[in-house]
Amino acid sequence: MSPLWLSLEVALLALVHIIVVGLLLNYILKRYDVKGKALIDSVLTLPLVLPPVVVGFALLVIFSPGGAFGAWLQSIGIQVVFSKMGAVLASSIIGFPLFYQTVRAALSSIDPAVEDVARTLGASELRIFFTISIPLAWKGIVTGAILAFSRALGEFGATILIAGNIPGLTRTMPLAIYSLVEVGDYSGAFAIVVYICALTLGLLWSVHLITKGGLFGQRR
Amino acid sequence: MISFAITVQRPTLLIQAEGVLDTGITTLTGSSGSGKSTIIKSLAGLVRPITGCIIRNDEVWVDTTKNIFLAPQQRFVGYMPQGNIVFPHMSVYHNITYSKRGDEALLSHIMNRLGLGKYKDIKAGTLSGGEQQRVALGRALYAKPVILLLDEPLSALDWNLREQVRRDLVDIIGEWQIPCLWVTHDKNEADEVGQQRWHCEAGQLYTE
Repeated sequence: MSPLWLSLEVALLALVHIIVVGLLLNYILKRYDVKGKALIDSVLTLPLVLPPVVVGFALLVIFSPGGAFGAWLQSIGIQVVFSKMGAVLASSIIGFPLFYQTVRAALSSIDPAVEDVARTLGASELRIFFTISIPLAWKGIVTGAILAFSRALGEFGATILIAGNIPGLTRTMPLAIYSLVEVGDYSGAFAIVVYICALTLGLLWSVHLITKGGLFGQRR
Repeated sequence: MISFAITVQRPTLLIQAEGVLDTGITTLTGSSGSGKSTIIKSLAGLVRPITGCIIRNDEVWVDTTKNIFLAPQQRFVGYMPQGNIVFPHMSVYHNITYSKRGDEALLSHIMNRLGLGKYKDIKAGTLSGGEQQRVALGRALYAKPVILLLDEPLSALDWNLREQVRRDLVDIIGEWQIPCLWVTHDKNEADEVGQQRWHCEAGQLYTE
């Protein structure tokens, strides 16, 4: 599979995981008075500021078949290291904080009175989350998803450690650029650089189209 | 009839309130920060008193000595928070029928009584302040409330509308034959609409 399509596939699979886990964690942390909320929040945001290579190293330690957990996974037929799953995992973790934090900010900007009214009307917390919180926070959710997807698309450091650089399997666009530069094929690398710049620029631009109602920001 | 005697701890204020709410309008005045909204939220179950009890007829909503605390979902209160907040992303119809307690007959009665029929499919967030207030009221009434809790129902409206809306509101509450606690900071408004008048100052509730 070409690096372009592989990158899109990996980033899309990562995005699905990010959205499911991100909404779930946001719901739990908003709904329940969890002890150590600040610490959990910090840990979930950590991949945003850590060098990706550190995340990749941690994943490698956890999932390497040389370790207990990795060995157990391999015994039931799941291989994370040097596989597409590894690339998806790396992109999911690196992209996660952008989605999580954007959605959290959008959810906490909702007037609590709106949700309070729904409670007095007899709605369960879950129903309130899906019928009121999520629809009112949709701009934040879409923005967060686009940011996380764009970030996942460009993932390099964690991916190369956990998933390796296997052509057709884990060689996404950033890894392909690295490989091409390594063998001195600058024009090949340049082509992919153009792809990835155009793609991510388009994605970030689309945030404005969706949330502010205009490509050039002039409409309201 | 709802009777209560509660103590509520807020970050900057200790609120102590005791009273009985019967059918008809009870107004609650007081300066901002005196604890008016907290009393309303305690009755709705949105704030948990540190001690005390709230009893409706024979039903215990709160009794801290027995560790009883009924969630807002189980109390059947009609709550209109400050600003008459609607669900802005939903149509008027979906706002009113958000609670699953009402039925077809009640819906058409509310729609007719509040004159909301023609707005049925319009997004509630796009309506004017006065119309949003009617949606918020209709939504509360559709849930078959045993009490109405109105937090400054007129404060979000333009001055020229208040007189008319106030009279409508009083008429409708009268038709529903349930207790209503009406919070306002306007002394004249309280005198006009209240059959019973309460006052709150520095967390202390004074009932006449």
